[in-house]
Amino acid sequence: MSTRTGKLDSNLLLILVLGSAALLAGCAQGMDQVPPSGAVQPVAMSVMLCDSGEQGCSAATSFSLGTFRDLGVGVDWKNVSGGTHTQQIALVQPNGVVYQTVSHSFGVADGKLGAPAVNDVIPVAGTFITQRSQIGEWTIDVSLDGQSIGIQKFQFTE
Amino acid sequence: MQRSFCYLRRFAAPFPHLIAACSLFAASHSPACAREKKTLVTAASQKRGGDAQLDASAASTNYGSATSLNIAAKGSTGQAARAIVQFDLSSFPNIGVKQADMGLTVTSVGNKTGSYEAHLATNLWQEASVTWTNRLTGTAWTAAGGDFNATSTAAVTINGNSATPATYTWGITADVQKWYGGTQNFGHVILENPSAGNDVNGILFNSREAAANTPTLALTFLQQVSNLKATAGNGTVTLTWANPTTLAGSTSLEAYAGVLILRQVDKPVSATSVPADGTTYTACSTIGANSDVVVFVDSTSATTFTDNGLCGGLTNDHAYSYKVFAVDTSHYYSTECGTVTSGSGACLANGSAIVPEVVAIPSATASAQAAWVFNTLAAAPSAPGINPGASTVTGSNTLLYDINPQTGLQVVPPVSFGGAISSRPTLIDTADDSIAQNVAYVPGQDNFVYAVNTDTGVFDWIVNPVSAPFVASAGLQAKLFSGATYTLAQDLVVAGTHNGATTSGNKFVALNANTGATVWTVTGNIGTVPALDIVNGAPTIDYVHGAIWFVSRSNGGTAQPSLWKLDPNAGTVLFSAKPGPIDYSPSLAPQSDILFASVNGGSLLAIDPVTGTTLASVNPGDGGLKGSVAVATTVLPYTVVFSTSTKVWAYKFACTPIANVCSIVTGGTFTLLWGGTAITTPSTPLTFPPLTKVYVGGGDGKIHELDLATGVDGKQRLLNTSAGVTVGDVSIDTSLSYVIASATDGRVYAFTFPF
Repeated sequence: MSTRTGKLDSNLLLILVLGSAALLAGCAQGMDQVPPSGAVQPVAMSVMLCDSGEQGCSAATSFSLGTFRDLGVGVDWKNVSGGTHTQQIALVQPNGVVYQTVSHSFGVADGKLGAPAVNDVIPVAGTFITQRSQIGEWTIDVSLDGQSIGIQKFQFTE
Repeated sequence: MQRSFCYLRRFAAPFPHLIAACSLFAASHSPACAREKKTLVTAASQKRGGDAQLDASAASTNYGSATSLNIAAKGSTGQAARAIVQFDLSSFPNIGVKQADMGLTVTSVGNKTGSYEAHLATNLWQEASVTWTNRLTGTAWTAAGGDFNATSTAAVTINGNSATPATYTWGITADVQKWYGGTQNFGHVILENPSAGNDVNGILFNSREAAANTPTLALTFLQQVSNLKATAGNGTVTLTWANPTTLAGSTSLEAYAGVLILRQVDKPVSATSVPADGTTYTACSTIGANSDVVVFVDSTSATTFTDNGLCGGLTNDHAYSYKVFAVDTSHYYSTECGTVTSGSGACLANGSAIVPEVVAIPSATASAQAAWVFNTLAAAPSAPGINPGASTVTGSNTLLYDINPQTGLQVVPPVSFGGAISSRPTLIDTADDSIAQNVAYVPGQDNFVYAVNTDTGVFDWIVNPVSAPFVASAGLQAKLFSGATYTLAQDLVVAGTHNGATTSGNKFVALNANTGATVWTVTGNIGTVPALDIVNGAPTIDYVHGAIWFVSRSNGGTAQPSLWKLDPNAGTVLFSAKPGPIDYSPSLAPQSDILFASVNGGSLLAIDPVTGTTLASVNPGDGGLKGSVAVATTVLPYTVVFSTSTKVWAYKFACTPIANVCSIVTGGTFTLLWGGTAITTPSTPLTFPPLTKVYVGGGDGKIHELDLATGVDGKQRLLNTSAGVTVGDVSIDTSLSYVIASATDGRVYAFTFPF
């Protein structure tokens, strides 16, 4: 697991301060929730996508393969229960077939609800995606401990 | 009915009341047994397995060779001890798992009742180096004490005053089924639930190094059919196969009855189409969301079926996909399913993933069929690496698949990597390498480089040489083929990093192929080395000139190098050039007298490999070069074939003024032979002497066969013509005369060539 650093820190801070609703219009952020069960706080997360090779790694939902380097995927969690957890990001092709997965484990102190942030970088430049121009609507499917929590769609363009 | 194999058996074998419940369940849910049962008894000799204790009070101590392992939520030191256990499934490469029970023999219990949970491990580890802190030498777990799913797969309550030794059973059926359905297998972490126990002593159980009563995995399963072949005709497809026979050492529970065959047209039978155990199907019914059609149901152990128009008929010149499920007398199918919602495939997404399948194209004039089809379960598996006649190895997401090209079945269960595999594995055989094994060398996106024995699936070594990810294939300099100037004692594995965070500080590393030890490292912007951007293409070994060539990006322009030549002995940069960013592996002509390099979206360069001088260049337009170059002739003038965005081209390269005598003063010329032959987003073309055809994967779900002399796209093989399916770079097995290619439907297809 990597923690949010550098320019991504400012994005996280912005998200936490302004709240997700204010940001939805301007960045690649989706919010999904697991249905609440009793009095338990539902697990929630938001996803930010960016070109990790771009100065500041600005959030976006559409990327041009001609100039794109690698896909930065930041996941901000809320209300994660204590214990060890595993986040999996699945990068899903436009045809619905999984292209690649990236897993990370992280720990939350027992007896507390955690809000960890997990960043990953998925290589794109020079891979099959750019070499064969795999344009179209791709999906990031985020799961926690084997349960799909939410998705974020985005575009690869020429 | 044998209750000991029924589903609820997993909860707790030692408790009679649960056995009784199990019997009731079995009696009311017939059938309850599958075909074969075999217990895997672990031993230290099973190289793909392992077990160890993870002890917080001795966080850096490895217990991989211990004969007894301790599990306690809070041991005598006040800290936790856990165990990690992985089974070697090498002897079960092609099975549909119905039940899996892990058995541990407990030799000592504490003084309280505790709940001992098995959690699916989620990160790569090795028995010889794993500790509470580290999963591999020098590499920590993400969370100390092991990375694992928060939710336990199974839990067993062990009473503090229970008699010992006693064997307890954890049901891990769903996890084992996932391992056969595309999920990494790192075994299980076993821990005492702290809220349920806090036993000071916990339990001790025998490890696989113990003299007896080692951990076991009892598997109940059906094997897959083998030797599945299709023969297409005019409006017909005939399938043949061999039915399974009971594995040595298995208990036969019921007889194999026959097969059920599903069919789909112009796309594969879905991996989620799973016939439900206990259900009898009739011909022409459908299964799954894609309405895959049941075209054959047999209970007579038939080994052939001819589809000549059943259930809607066959239309010539379309690709028909067939999947053949073994079935037993109680209607258990060779799927990874214990329970399924009838017809929906709801048990597991990839429940029929490894069931053998094949493709055939009936035609009035040019019928064809795949030699085999193998489903790797993820999109865009890497281009396959080939050991002719022996192995076809492809990386698919985080798994490495080793396919027997004679049968199309996997040699061993997939090898689980710690990160994604992006490119073609580099293979070498026993006779040619310094480690005297059939080996695949594979760099991963998780910063590790892996050496895998392709006969066993065992890791020869795993190293993290420079803590940066790899995307490109490795190069391998074989000492056997190297001249006297190569002074190293063994083969050399070389690879460049794809660290997108820097445009100048990437690395190129050379490893001892026998051990993984770093021999040398070249780092951009260090010393006299120029800036080095990300490396995306495989290195090329120049045995004639004693050099390693590789390519890189160049920070978006021509201000820093992208073409590199290194000395293999010490990594000294012999030469570098700045033609612009290059993602595609350079191609050395058969006589090693010309190096061809493709600038991304730019020109093809012909380079003198001695001086690095560019002798000629050509760019036919259409978006410029989009792949490496295939050299089709053995001597100058060379015929080269390459792809641009939507076309394939052939040019002749000749030196001037004498075609076969090159001079850096007079250079050379490219002359168009044919092109561009239109193909949707073509792959790097493949041809080599003495082939007279060129093979290209298309973005249209086909492999195209072009005539080398004319460029005519004369024949194609339909793999999967569903929208969005792209065929990757093709490979050729010269021993079997197969063209083999991966596609973004997750499958590897083999066709006999020429088409």
